[in-house]
Parts: sequence; structure tokens; C-alpha cells
Amino acid sequence: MSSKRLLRLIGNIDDEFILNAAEYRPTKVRKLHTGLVISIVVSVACIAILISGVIKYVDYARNYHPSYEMHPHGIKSESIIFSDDYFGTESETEIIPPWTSVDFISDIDIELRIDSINDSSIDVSYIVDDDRYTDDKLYTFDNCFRLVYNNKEDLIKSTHADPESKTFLTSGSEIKFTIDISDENSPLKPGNYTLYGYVFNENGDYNFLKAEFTVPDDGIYP
Amino acid sequence: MEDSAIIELYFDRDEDAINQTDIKYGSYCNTITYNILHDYHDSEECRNDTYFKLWNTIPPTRPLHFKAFIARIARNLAIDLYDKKHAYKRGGASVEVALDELEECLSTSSNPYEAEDQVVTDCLNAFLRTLSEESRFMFVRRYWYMDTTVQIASLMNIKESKVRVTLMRTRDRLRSFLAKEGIRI
Repeated sequence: MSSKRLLRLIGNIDDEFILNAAEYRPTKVRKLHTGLVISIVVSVACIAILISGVIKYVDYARNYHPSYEMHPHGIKSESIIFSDDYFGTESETEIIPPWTSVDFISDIDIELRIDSINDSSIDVSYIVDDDRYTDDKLYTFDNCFRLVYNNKEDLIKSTHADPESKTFLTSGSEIKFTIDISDENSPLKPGNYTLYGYVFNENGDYNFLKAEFTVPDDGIYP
Repeated sequence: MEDSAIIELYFDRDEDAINQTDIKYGSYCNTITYNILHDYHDSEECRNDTYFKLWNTIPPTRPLHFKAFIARIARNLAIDLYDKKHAYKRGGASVEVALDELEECLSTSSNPYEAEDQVVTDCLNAFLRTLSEESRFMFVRRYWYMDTTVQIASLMNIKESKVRVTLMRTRDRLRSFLAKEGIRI
């Protein structure tokens, strides 16, 4: 078979190949494919963002426990939610200022004290020593705290305020509770920790107390 | 006008069939024949011969794909003319005779292929189906439409060197394919 004959026989190939080569434009098709891929990627990204938004909203709604009994001042009631998302690092700068502005107990002698720490728990006390608070006007909630590592940058544990667990603080009282850390956080890694506790007055205003401690490199608790 | 309507004109022996064919596929024929002949006058002559052959072939043939049918006739006529011109220059009368025989087969039979040709054609079809869409496009544009590699590169918006390399690899694959099928070149 000569090349001339082969060339001639190529002329007999199926119509589909001839028509495809005449009508098919790879450049256009490639552009179409590129456009299609971009559209799909953008669509997937949009859907992902939408789903992420829905999940965040659902999570927020699930964790949202407004309690006007605790916070009669409306919007402040939102701040009682001690969820991880709410206290996320990104929003912390926005959330903290109004907290610090509510400084109703700045002149009250009340202490958040860490009594002891071991691998599984932290024993904590609220101690009030102020005669002005002899009535049931100052209160907190059981296990209402926030434990962070390395100066607020790394949340170790926090809980939601439980309206049913209101405990009043009066002068001379000493409220004790234990933070369970016998989970993935145990034992606490070496470093500086800050424990925040929350105290409320009869108007639902609140402020936080804090206690700091350090877990040394050898892991022996102070 | 739809291809089927043009074909009906041929069957009705209406000379408007030629006009309609020229309107719809005249430039397409020119592209094919000029790629082979590189001469406007020869290309024009080939196009007229294509219409004449169409007139003689339809009926009885009723092409399934009218565009491909025209293209195939135009290409074969252009190759014939090309061969004739080059044979004349070389003084090879035997080539002219062979080409005339092929011309006769095309014009008298609705199935103009000899058995062996059909085998090779089937192999070529099978081979083309093994190629990627891009490689197949390059191969058909180069060896059927006789486009240059520059033209193909322009059509595909890629570098000519890529076309050359792809075609070289495709030729190698074709040689292997035909050898595997027991067809010697």
C-alpha cells in the first residue's frame, strides 16, 4: 500500500468524522468547557457558603436561650449565651467592650478563687465579703464559666447558663463548684490559663470575674 | 434550504439543485479543493466537477449525510486532479490510468470500494475511534481536509509545534495499528 493510496482511502472514512471535523470547533468547545467548569466551581462554592450559613444559623438558633427573667434589659440577654461560637476569637473584640462597661460590682469585694486543680477537675469558689449584699440580689449560675488557654486565644471549655440553676450570693457566702476536665483536655497542657466566672445583680446586669493560673512545664499543678 | 430538500431537487432532476448546492456548500467545497490544489482556477474546476458528479450520482444514491457526501466527492476529484498534474509533470501515464479507473468506480457504483479498500477503511475507522477527540480532529483536518499544521493550530488555538508532535505520534500509532491488523504500508 502506498502513501498515496492510504491518503485516498482516508477519504473513505465514516461521515461522522468528516462532519465532526468540519463542524466541531475545539477552541469553542474548550472555552465552553472552561466556562462550564468555572460555573460549576462557583455554584459549588455558593452552595457551600449557603449550607455553611444555614448550619451556622441552625447552630446559633439551637444555642440561643434568651431569658428575660435573668436579663430584663432586652438585648443584653443575648450576652448570656456562653456558646463557643458566641465567644469566638473573631467576635470577641466586639463582645467584650459592653461586658466591661457593665461594672456594677467593681466596688464589691467578691472573689473567684481556684481552690485546687488536678488532672480531672478544677475546684472553684465564689466568695462574697460585702455587707451590702445581704439580700438575694447577687447571683450566679452553676457551672457558668469559661476557661481559656494562653490569654483568651484558645478556648478550653465553656458552658451555657442554665436559668434553673440560679444560686444567690450574699455577704459571707462561699459558693463552690467543680469544673470537670476529665475529657480530651485532660491533663491540661502547660501554659497560662484564665478562668472567667459570671455574676449578675438584681437587674440582670452582669460582670465577669477572673482567676488566672499556670500549669508548669512539668505538669505538676500548683 | 434543508439538505433533504436539495436532494429532492436532484431526484426531481431540477437544475436548481445545483444552485442550491452551490449556495449552501460552494465555499465548503472550495476550501477542501483549494487545500489540495492550491490553485483557484483548479479549485473552481473541481467544484464544478463535484456538482456534475452529484448530478450523475443522485439519483439513484440518496446520501445519508449530504455535506459529507459532497465533501468526499470534492476531495477525491481534487486528489485526482492533483495526481494528474503531477503525473503529467513526471510523465507517468500509468498513474493517470489508475486514477481514471478509480474515477470510474466512483461514478458508477453506490458502493465504490473494493473489498480490500473496505478492509483498510474499516481499520481506519476503528483506528480513529481509538483517538482522543483532539487527536482525531487534527488527523482528519490534516489528512482529509488537507489543512496545514498552521491552519490546524489556528483552528484549535494552540501552538503549531503541538499539532506537529501530536500528528507524528498519531501516524506512529496508525502504523502500529495497521501492522497489528496485518496491513502493510
